Amino acid sequence: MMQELKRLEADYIVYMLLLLFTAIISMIRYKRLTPAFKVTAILMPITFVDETVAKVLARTVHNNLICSHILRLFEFTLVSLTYYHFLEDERIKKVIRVLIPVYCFFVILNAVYIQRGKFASNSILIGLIAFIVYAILSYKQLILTSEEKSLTMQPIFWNSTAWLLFGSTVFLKFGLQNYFVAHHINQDILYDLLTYMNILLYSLILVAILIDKNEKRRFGYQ
Amino acid sequence: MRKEGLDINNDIITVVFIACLFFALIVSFLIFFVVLYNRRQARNRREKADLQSHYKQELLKTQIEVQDQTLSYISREIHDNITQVLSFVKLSLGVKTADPEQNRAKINESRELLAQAINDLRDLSKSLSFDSIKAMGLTNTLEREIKRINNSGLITVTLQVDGEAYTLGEKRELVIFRIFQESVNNALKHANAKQMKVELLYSEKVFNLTISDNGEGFDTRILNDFEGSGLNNMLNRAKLIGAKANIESAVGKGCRISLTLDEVIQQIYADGTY
Ligand SMILES: Nc1ncnc2c1ncn2[C@@H]1O[C@H](COP(=O)(O)OP(=O)(O)O)[C@@H](O)[C@H]1O
Ligand SMILES: [Mg+2]
Repeated sequence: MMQELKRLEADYIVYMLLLLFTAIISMIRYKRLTPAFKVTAILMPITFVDETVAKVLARTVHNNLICSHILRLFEFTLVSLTYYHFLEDERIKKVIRVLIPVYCFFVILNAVYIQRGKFASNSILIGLIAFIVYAILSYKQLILTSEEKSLTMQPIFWNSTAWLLFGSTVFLKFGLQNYFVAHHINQDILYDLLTYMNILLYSLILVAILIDKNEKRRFGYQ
Repeated sequence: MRKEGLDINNDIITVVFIACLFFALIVSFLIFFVVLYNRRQARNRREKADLQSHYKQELLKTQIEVQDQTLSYISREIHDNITQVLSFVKLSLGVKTADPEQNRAKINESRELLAQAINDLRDLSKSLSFDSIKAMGLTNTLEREIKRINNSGLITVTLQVDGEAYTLGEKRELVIFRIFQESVNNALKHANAKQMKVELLYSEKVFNLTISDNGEGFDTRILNDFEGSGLNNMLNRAKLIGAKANIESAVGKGCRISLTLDEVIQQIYADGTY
């Protein structure tokens, strides 16, 4: 039991250190980022602060679930804006413009009425559906635009892969959780999975923020 | 009890199986995407290489055409002018007269003619340098060429330059010069034009060239039937240097050729090779 606790703590410390590191890198590199990743860069310190506050609340008042609701507002808005900058299709941009306020309204509604005092699973799942769709749309755009850069040098590829993997795993986790509960199976493995996926998520976003560079195309008649 | 435990074991296996399948699916989707992307990239690279070699070939052809036309002008000039003058001098010096006064006059006249021939040759040797566009730039080359055409008396060409001239890059200027040459050819060959106007506009973001003649004009629909003729070459080459060219004409309305290079179009070509 003690050992298991220790292991969980170690995962958590790795996660928080990674988040802190990503937040610091985001702030250092902020000026050199493209508009799309400037937005994601802002999300990193916010996430770190939110997670820290969540930990403090858990230790003091033993209920930090409000943090999960509040983070959704920032996360959805900023991730959507990242793709708003990246995706070029005007119709998609229009949809994103509408989606942000609608989603935020839903998060507040959910936090006040539907899942008051509970984990914000509704908001998370709905938000992640949007992120998975963004990821797939960005893959499509990468394929269709004839960039000469290799895929590994495209920050949006890492960012989209991060959200795609994370998003689908979270869905898997919630699906399996219902099953585990129904069959009285120990859920530890699921929480471990989620922590690892969180670590993967922020590692990939860190890669994206590290390789993103705002190069304005210079132009001249030779 | 035993049976239930077995059930749960079976269930766990199913769950693990589903989870693995799910991840396999996502990972294969990612791999599929990466492979597709790389394949596309390879294809694009190939297409770009093709395009570049086509561009180089076209430039070479343009250069050869410019040189061709210069050479034919020079051979005509040597034949029509210099050879004539020198033959005349030779003849007049060959005829002996007793009168020393007359001889001196003849010698003086021959000297003047020789001086003129030397001058003409000097001018010609200047035209012989094909690199004049590189050395003097587009506007100066056009100015000199137009002066020469006007001296020939076949047609009157006026040149108007608005704005501060800047270089468009040697390759672009070569193509533009060739377009000018072909327009003059056409105006003389097909249009019976007496006047031509060449206008260059250098503004901060846009370069514009307009060449118009007051000749017979033609129905531009015939351009679809010509393959690789002078005018179609113009349009294709303009596209190659990232310019937009336009040919306007109608029977009895003269012909007007315009070419625009602007920053927005140029962005696509701004990788230094153009
Ligand atoms: N300036 C012009 N005025 C009248 N007709 C022209 C003019 N330029 C071209 N054309 C017509 O368009 C045709 C195509 O011209 P071009 O592409 O230069 O080919 P080419 O000069 O070899 O015939 C010419 O045959 C002529 O009938
Ligand atoms: Mg012609």
